[in-house]
Amino acid sequence: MFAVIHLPDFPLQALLRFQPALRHEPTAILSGEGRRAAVSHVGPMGSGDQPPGGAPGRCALPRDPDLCPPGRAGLSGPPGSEHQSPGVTPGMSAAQALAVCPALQLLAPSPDAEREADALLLTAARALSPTVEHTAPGCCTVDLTGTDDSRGAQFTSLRADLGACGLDARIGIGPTPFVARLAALQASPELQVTDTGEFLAPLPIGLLEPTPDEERLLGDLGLHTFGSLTALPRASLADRLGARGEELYARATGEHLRPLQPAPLPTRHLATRTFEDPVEVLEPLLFTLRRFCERLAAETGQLGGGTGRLALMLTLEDDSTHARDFDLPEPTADADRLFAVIETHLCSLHTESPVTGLTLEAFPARRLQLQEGLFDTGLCDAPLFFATLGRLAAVAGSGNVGTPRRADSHRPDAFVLDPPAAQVSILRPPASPAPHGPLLRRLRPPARATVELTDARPSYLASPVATGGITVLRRPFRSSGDWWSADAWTREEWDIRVGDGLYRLLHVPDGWFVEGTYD
Amino acid sequence: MPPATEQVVSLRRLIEGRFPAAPARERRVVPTGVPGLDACLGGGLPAGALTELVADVPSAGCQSALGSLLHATRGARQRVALVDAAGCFDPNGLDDDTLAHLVWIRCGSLADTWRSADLVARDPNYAVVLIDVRGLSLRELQRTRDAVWVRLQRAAEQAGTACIIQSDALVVPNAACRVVFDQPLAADALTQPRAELLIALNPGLQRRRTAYPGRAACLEAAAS
Repeated sequence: MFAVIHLPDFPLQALLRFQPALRHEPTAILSGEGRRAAVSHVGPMGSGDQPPGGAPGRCALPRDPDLCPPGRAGLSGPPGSEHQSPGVTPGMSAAQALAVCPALQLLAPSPDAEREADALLLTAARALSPTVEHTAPGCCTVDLTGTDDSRGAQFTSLRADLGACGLDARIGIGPTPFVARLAALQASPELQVTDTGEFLAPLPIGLLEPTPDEERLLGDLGLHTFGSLTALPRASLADRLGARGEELYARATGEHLRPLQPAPLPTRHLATRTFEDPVEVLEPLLFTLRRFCERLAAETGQLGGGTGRLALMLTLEDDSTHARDFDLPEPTADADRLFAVIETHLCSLHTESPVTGLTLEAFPARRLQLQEGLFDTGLCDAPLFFATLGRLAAVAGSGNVGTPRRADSHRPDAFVLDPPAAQVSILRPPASPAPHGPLLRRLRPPARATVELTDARPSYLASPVATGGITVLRRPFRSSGDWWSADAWTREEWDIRVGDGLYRLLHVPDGWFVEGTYD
Repeated sequence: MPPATEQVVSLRRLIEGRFPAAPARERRVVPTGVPGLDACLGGGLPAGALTELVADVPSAGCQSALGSLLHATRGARQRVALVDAAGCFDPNGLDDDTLAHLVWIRCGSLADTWRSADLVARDPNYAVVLIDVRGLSLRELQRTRDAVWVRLQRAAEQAGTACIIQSDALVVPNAACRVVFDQPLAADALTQPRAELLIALNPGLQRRRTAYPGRAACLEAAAS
């Protein structure tokens, strides 16, 4: 059995995936240049309640690569799929289309968007079978031989996955790729051909993709449907039309079987988009990146591990670029988590000029194989932990978030902030003597103070922190360091009591300061 | 005791007497390692709720209690976030190993403090979120919108985080527990072993919402 997954009005669907605001507007794709420009695909005429492709203006059947003679456009779909109401139809010029529907939004095809949608389609199809052929833009054929028979749920799930990514798919299942493709055109949204003869008989002869001469000849003979062709003796048709007649007969009976050409697995997981107009605000960027993350997460997830690293590059209008790599705490195939990492970064980013293009590459990685210590302090949600750290860095500054550690210096208040660790080992027994005294609450910077001395000892304090008579509790502690450098320091600390508070008084060459409160 | 409170206490006693086997609402607590504080909180800081620690005098041992909490949570293999509005925390007072589980966020303004607190309170990786707003202007703190407190409370409830606000005065309107450190440290505290100093701390419970164990006793304690 074969399945064909078809995205009706593919260029329009691919484009609207990145411009959801236009989904409820009458839209059409204008292909060609200059005076030859014409409407090629028409979206829902502003009905608003149908998904893109749900009411195609005219169903353009993607050509089977080895069935259709080259140099001929795609064939029209069956009559039932045509847009019956008067309005914009494919082939109209821009002026004609706008005359019929003044509110029509004429859009240029977007190769970037179509490439993205195609990649997403292939990724989704590989969930059914490893043998997937990229038959045409917006259409792929899947060889279901040897796969599980309970496919109904798989197809529903596949359509739901594509629907979540903004694509409306039709699925046809048949004994040959050709029959499956015809079934996909008739499907709404799924159609499995059980009786091939009964299904094919009423179809118009044009769907056999004959050459114009053949079509004219068959019409002259009164053969307008598949059934009328297969009613003839096969040998007579071969005598009249030669090998080509034999081939058309085989197609009309559903016997024609061609080998699939499996699409190669992507070697790089890359998503690119160039904006028509430079982007100055964040929302369009985030929306595009969200779509990219959906596809890249699905692609790398199929490899079994997920994404371990992301590389983002923004192209700016002044021809400069902004590049940033994101190392993820652990590989993930969750689009939300990938997106959260990028969103956190972009929310704090200001560029000198508008963005004209962006590229996102995902690097697949194997899942971490590590044995955590039984008594280690781990994380219940590592991606969230590091995403939160990223957001905190955006709020407070990256230099103000981290795990404190004493710096390798004798300078008071010397510390460094390390990136928080995913795993914290078990608490070791203290090597140093038990600590004495309360902890110090430091004033950063220290509060300047006026100190009155009596017999070279502080006796009265006036400062924003405390004011009053001083009781000296401990003798001054003198220290100095870095005397060999320009950053030399020397200080004298007094532990004092003023009122109910215990303070550390600091005497440096600049004067007196209250360094903190013992609390 | 106000008449309304008396009635509530008597009603609770009546219900507890009638239905002694009724399951009490279990709450997870985070022990602080300070005997006096754990005793008045019913075992430790309530998880999924706001607790306000008020330092009524400059040197009442509140910071040392937080140091003890850091040590206790390190031993219990929990993560702690410290949102430091004024940047007063001194990491040199504790071992590096004791601080390995700590994420210290040094904020430059009160607005950044609330934003950071909101982020970490929603992260279930943290068992305890300490928000230190001591040293800030009381007027500025009292201008904090109620929505900030409610949002913080909801975030702590959803993530199951014990959220502690350390302040110089009463500022948290919806704190589930409020403990006041109002007894100044003695002059010899500077030379006293810290463990003894922590044992000597005796903070006073000013509020405990009745959703925690020992409901009737809590109300009585609060009323008295």
